[in-house]
Amino acid sequence: MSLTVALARMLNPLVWRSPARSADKLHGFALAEHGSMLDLRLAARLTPSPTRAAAYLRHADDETRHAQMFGKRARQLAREAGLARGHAVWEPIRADSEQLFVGLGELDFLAFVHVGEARAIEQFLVYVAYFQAQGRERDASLLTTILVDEHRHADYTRALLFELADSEAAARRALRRVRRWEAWRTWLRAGRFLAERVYMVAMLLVYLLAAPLGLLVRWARPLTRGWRDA
Amino acid sequence: MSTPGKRPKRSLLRRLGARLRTSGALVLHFLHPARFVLAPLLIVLLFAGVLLWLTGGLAYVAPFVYALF
Amino acid sequence: MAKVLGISAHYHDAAAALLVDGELVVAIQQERLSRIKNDPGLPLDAADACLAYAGVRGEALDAVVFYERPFDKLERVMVNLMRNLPRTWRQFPRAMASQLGDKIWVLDQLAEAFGQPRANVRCFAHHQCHAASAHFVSRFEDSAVLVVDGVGEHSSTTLWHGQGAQLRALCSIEFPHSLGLLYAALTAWLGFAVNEGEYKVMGLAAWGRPGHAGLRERFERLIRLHDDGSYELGLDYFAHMSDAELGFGPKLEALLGPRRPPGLAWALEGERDQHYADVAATLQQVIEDALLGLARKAKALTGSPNLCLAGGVALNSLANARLAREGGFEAVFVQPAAGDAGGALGAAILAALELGDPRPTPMLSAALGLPVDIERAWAVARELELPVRRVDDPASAAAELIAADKIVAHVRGRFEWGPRALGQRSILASAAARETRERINRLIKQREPFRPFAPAVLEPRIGEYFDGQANDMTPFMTTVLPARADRSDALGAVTHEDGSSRVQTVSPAGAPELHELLVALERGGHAPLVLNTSLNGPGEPIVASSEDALGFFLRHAVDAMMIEDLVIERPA
Repeated sequence: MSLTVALARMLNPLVWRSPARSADKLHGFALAEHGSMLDLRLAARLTPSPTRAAAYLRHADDETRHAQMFGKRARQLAREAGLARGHAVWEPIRADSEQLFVGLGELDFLAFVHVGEARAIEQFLVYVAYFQAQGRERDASLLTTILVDEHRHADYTRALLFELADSEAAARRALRRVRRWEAWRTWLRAGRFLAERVYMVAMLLVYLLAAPLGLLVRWARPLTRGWRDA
Repeated sequence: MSTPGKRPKRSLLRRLGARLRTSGALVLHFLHPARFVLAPLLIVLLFAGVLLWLTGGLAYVAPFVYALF
Repeated sequence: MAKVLGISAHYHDAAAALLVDGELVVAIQQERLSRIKNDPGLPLDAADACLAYAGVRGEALDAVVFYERPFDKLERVMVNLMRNLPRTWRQFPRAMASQLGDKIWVLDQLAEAFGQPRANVRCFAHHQCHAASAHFVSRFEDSAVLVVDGVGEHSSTTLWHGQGAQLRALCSIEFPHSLGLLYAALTAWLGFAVNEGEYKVMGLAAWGRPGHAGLRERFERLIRLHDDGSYELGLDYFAHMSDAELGFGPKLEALLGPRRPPGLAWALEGERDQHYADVAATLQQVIEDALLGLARKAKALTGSPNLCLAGGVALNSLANARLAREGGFEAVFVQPAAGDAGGALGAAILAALELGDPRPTPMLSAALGLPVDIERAWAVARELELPVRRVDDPASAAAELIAADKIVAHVRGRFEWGPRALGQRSILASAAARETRERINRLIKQREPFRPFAPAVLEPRIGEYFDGQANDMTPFMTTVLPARADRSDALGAVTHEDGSSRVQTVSPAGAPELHELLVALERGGHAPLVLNTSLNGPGEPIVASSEDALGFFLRHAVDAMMIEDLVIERPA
């Protein structure tokens, strides 16, 4: 059993424990699909091969559809949970592009997408089994529908990767390279998450200490009204 | 349609020099006679800048530190 | 004679614009390349694309110019954070991280990105760039310039006097009093995304009753308009001093009622949504009154017969129409990218003038982006197994499709500068039938039911369909005209609830491909008029490249797509 599967099984009851948590998680999936769509659109524009451009465009189209499906279900669950109006789930689905094609090059980009799709398949299968056991047919069927596309994505990216690489060994090296790169990226993300919290707390202390400056500023820079000559 | 450009990075020393010049210009901005009274805000800027720099570095080791404790 | 690159970034709508020997060669918003709507990131892709289009290397630039003074901005942010202690505690760490971690180093980043000595990288004030982006590309020798937006470094409203290649600052209104932030707060209260939903508020206004049930009196607590043209916000009702996202406080909800939940379907026949429409209509009326006051002040100070408008508020086409009617000026001009993107253009012009270049020639066309690669489009379409074919006369082919009531995605020429699709990256359809509008909404745009679609008409024929003449704004869709009631047969899909249309007049210089198409329609015995809406799906930036166009075709059920001389028709 892979680490991904073991983690997913262990965390299932936590991640999907309530409609609110489920809405959060599915909203996260919607963002991931949207981000992936942006990367694939960029790849379609930048690859020299029209064949691969077409493949990336089809894949991007699937990701857009998946983002919409996840987003829609997330909002249904958010309504059930009565999530506050300010919650991110109500916002339009907007992700940033990591410009992976530019950063990694086409070979590693393909390896990265393949690894991501393969992992998603593993996770989704665990989730589907969990939902079926819990009688959550609607969520199980959502993921089952998307899984069909994920299998296709994993297959075509693997095929293109091995076609583009000079040799089978080079393709396997690319797969290992992106797995290492992903692990390092996960480490950094975790670090950033913690560092941000340390920074926030420290900055709030600075804010408290700077409170007297508020009086200074109000005295030195009173609010102006009306016209001010240039 | 264009391709995003690949840019040669400047040396660390040149980038550091540029940052120092900009920091100097920022200090001069707040020491300008027209806004001299705002000069104490530089202290806040200094603290915030140092904190940002330190926590930026922390991102590389934080999970390790977290795992230890 | 200089090559100058202007850059706007970091807040919303980042862009790059390139001037060579004083002439605007290319201008691109970053969102068109990154595919992230209103992308605020440093627009290096857009800048690279500008340089590649013009065949200029970064190192060969004479200046790179940023549209804002970073230290002045930092100063305003810090003063505001400190002044509003302790309400700014949430905003403080994030604002400091964003300023110190990124924004104050922008000139160094630009120097490094384009291999420029730091001395060649400069900046001008935000509102000065806006003013320059309007006056210097207008046809006016002498103009009053009014800049109104959320906030620049310190100012939210400024008046300028443009004379030839000179631009003189006259007076300003400072943050936190701001028409742009008033509009943003009400946009959020109405449940729309700020910096994106403002057009929706404007569209909604036509369905409301301005001042209904004492709303005008209630708005007087939100904003006081003074006889000298200035205005003052009732700051207790707003939160833009301490909340960067929402912009309004609990007092505003007590005054106008609870905010509308985002994403809820609209039912304007119901009392609740009618109230929201009434508020939008009152806001529109108040904004127009405020702008009229500002315009009269500008007229009094400059005595100029012409008015140029810039800043995000200048994209309010209804207000622009009223200014043109009642502002007391002979002519009004609004540059198509009047929002922050336009700052890149203004910055580049200011630097070019300082370097001794002449003032640019008047802007006649917004087709300032990149063309599509036709061979690539052909090859990728074939790989996608789409039924693509070449035609000898693309304008006639498109006209035939539209005459047959097809919805056509039209990708021809260089893509547009600014938020409006003006025929280069447009969805075109017959303007006559109201059902067409519903079909486009259902299949593609999924817009709120109250939002209008705009018409594009051959410039000499405008009087046959609308009450008014072509003016400096109509080529760029930055104003509206009343639709002629006796021509409702031809305008069913493009007339708004209030009887107005945000009409585009089409000339060979402004949009040559669309002009050919309208001529072909007329030649075939049809009205030289089409419904013209942007080629994008909900929440997406307008299509730029051939790959974007083909991606759009895969996702959205348009009947046909024209990519230059390629036609792709969806099988019935």
